Amino acid sequence: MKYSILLLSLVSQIAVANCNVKTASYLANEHQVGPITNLVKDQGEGYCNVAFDITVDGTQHHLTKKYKGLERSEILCQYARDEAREDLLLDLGGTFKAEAVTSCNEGAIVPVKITVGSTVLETEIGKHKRSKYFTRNGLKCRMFTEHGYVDGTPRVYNGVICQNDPEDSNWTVMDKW
Amino acid sequence: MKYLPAVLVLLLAACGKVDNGPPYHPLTYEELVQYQPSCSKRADQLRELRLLQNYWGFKADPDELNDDDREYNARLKNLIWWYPYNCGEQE
Repeated sequence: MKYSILLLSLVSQIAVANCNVKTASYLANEHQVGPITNLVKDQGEGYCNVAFDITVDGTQHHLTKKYKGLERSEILCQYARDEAREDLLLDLGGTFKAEAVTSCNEGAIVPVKITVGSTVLETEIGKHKRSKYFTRNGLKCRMFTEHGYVDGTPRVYNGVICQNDPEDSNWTVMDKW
Repeated sequence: MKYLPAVLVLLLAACGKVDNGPPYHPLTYEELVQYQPSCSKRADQLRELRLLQNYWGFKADPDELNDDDREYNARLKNLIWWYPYNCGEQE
């Protein structure tokens, strides 16, 4: 009997060793958030300052945010608004939810190779030195850097991932080089 | 008589002697390294870079390219993505 338990334990560990676990956590928004009102924008080349009011759970907040970057000032204003609102919601707190996707392939090593068209979680993809988000065809995108080995030689890849939907935690690899 | 030029053009076209413009010379790797992307020239530069991309037709998987092609392709794609990153959404 004790040998069969030992054997089961061993098989279980082998299976776990060949599983690929993708995890992500996000702040689930459980607040009643109203629209942005009284928006004032001070924008110029490479910067945008915004000030606006927003009502969360019946309480009005006045927010200000500065954003600098190389994008057009309208985009910078959008980033500033989004960041100010996200910062406020983070300060207010909420419930963090985590999700994990586990895929197992018993008996074979799971190849982890990101290719164009792959669906990924943003948290599993490395940051690029150009770390800011940008918009492409209405989708939120960012660049990534990935390290791999080919024939024992290290290789650095770069690419672009875009969020499938503003509410979706899945991102798609748009390009890789 | 007034139709003579048109007739001549048609004859030349039929004989395959119409000039199709200068032959296409793709940018070299060194020229790509020196390339100066500019938001104000975005449309023209992107057209040029995509023409270059179509000309070479590199495979999407960088692991299927040899070292030279991978370097060239990386330079090219870096340039193409420079525009949405630095100039915003509009093309």
